[in-house]
Amino acid sequence: MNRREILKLSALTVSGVMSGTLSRALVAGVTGQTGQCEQVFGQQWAQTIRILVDLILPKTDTPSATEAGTHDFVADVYANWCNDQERSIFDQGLVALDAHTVASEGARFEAASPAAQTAALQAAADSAKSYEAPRSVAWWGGGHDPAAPFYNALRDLTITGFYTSEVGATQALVSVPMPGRFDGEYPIAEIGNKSWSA
Amino acid sequence: MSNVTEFDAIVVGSGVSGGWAAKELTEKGLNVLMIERGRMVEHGKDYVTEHKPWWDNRFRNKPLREIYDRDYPEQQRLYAFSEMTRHYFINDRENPYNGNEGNDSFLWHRADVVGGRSLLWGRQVYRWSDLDFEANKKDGHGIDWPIRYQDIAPWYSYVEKFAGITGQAEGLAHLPDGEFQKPMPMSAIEKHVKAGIEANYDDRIMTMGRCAVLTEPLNGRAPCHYCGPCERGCSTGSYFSTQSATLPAARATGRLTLMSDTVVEKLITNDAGDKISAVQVIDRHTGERKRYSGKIVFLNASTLASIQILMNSKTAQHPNGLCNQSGTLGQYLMDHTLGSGAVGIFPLFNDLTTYGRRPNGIYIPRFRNVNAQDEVPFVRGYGYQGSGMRMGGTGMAAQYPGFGAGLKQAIESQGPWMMYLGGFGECLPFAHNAMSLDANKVDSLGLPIININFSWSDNEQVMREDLVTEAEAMLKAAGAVHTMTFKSNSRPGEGIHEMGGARMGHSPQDSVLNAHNQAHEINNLFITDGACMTSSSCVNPSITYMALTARAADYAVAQLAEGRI
Repeated sequence: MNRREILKLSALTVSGVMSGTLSRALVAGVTGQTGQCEQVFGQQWAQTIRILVDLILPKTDTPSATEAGTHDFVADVYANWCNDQERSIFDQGLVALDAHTVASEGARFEAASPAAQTAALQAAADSAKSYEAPRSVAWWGGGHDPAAPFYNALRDLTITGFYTSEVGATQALVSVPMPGRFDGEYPIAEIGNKSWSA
Repeated sequence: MSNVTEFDAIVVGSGVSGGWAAKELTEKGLNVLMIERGRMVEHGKDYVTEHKPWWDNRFRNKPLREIYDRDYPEQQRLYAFSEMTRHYFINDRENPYNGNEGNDSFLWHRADVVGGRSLLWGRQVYRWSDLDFEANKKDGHGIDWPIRYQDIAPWYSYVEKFAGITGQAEGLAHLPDGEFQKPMPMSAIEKHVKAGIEANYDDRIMTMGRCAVLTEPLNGRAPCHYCGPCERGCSTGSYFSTQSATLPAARATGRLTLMSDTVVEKLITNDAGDKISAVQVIDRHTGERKRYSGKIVFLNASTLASIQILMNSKTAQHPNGLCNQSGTLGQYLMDHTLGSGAVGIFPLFNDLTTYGRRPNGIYIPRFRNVNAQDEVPFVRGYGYQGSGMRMGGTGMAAQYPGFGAGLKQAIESQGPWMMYLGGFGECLPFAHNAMSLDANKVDSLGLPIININFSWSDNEQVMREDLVTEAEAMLKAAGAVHTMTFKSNSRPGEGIHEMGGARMGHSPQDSVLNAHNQAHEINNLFITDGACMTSSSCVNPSITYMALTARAADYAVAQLAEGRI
């Protein structure tokens, strides 16, 4: 059992939520493709990730996070980019969400009502409020602060994954890869007040 | 190592100044060997990440920390370093510097490809003036420059016409106009802030950034298409680089031999010690050593690397490194301070935004100590670079810490206009800001690594306070409703304007080079990269390196023809 698995197990033990432990099915070389979320997290937790990314970026007049495959990106980063500390924080965050809905409704997160799910994520947001990122991280906005709380890490990954995906960049934002000119006084009505893709 | 291949001239390095040396010398009829330590990057086809969308990158440009921390602990700190550009940068693990544990005093950003940092540079271009060339003499820091503006002005024009510079003429004596293509447009907020500053301050203007990016066609190069990330490489050649401009010109003469993957170990002198007789190189892949000879040698390896070569070339006649009779070799290093300034938010022009990603910003020229010493506790001055655009996109996420439709709406709609001003401060020349060769540590090729000791002086620190205060005051005067200042105690080197160490001067007793970038002690050696600088000004230095290089090449070829070299 490696260090990460021990951390995961201890997180689960502490929370008292032992059913449906996180999947160990980390598949090296899988790259954010469809189905990776299930491969990395297993069906049950994958459903939790899907719900979470859509709570953060729901379907509006533009596509939802899952419609852009953001859950698979989150899984790829979790499995193949994050370090042990980050995965441990992430695992504990997921477990805490379950504990929250179990306490409020007696159901695990993915089986709880939308209101309970929102309340659980709001609780995670509240617990992260007092956290201040180290200045070096904040200055460059690099989004790679290994000590970031679960909520911050999940939110950042969701935003990055969605808005840098083809769906997010071209349908939720306005993408002009080859502008051909610069206009510093461009009528915003031309793009319906939408924001530019990076 | 017996086979010595002969050329008319050898140019060491292929970056901004090396490319110019190769172009000028080949066009004047010399057979030139240009030696570059990095791998070949061919224009266009080797810009492998150009125009790639973010979703083509697996982790969407998140830093690959294990690789970066192992191989790029220094390079990864640069804004332009990412998975989209990593292939241009040097591997710090194989090419270490500052061997003393804990010596974190200098950040040396290095490319490791043909074209060097000309592929990666910020492209800002400003002429020096006599305010800069006379500064040392007037306030007593460093030594007097052996040249004045009139010596270099025609050469600025010469290189600007070929490089292609966009800019707005302003008629300022201390920031002379150049040969400009039409300026890039300002944004709505930039025009507004410009008017606000100029109405409130008699001594300040805001102008459009002067930049080595085309707005009009030039020599087969296309105007900018405003795609954004120049540092990935530009196959239309819209920004000046060795690959887009000087290398094709040098190749067109049929007189250029370009050797990549080849590291210059040392310069070999003749028995008298007054000529370079050969350049000794190491093949990076085989480790094989060879020598090449040229009637003249141009050293353009970049400031620190050129000095490293001089120090590693010591002989009986030059026991402290080549051309170091003055004892100043490696000393009086300079950079610019940056990373400090202010941001302002403006509740205006809600019906307007910007279209296109402009690779250029605005410029506020120096206004401190211009005509006389002002009542400020520092000498010299600073200028600001900046830009004004609407916030929006994922940049708005930090303003909205929640989740759900509100967050999505905030990210996907245009945010308020913001204006950013960041100062570049002049750095004084001091002997204690110096580099030396490490007596014990070597790089992966066995060459002694360099150690750099560098710290900002009180003058730079006090100036930084003033430029932060003034940036915020100007934004407020222009109507910003919310402002935020930022102050970075930037690490020396972060400006990527490292210069000095083999300075120009009036005599071999006080300097390494004369008024023509020719070594006082070895008349067939010319150094025209940043090492030659005697003071730092507060403006970006590259166009000055270009002009000095073209000027020195002209002089060198004339001297050769007259039999003086």
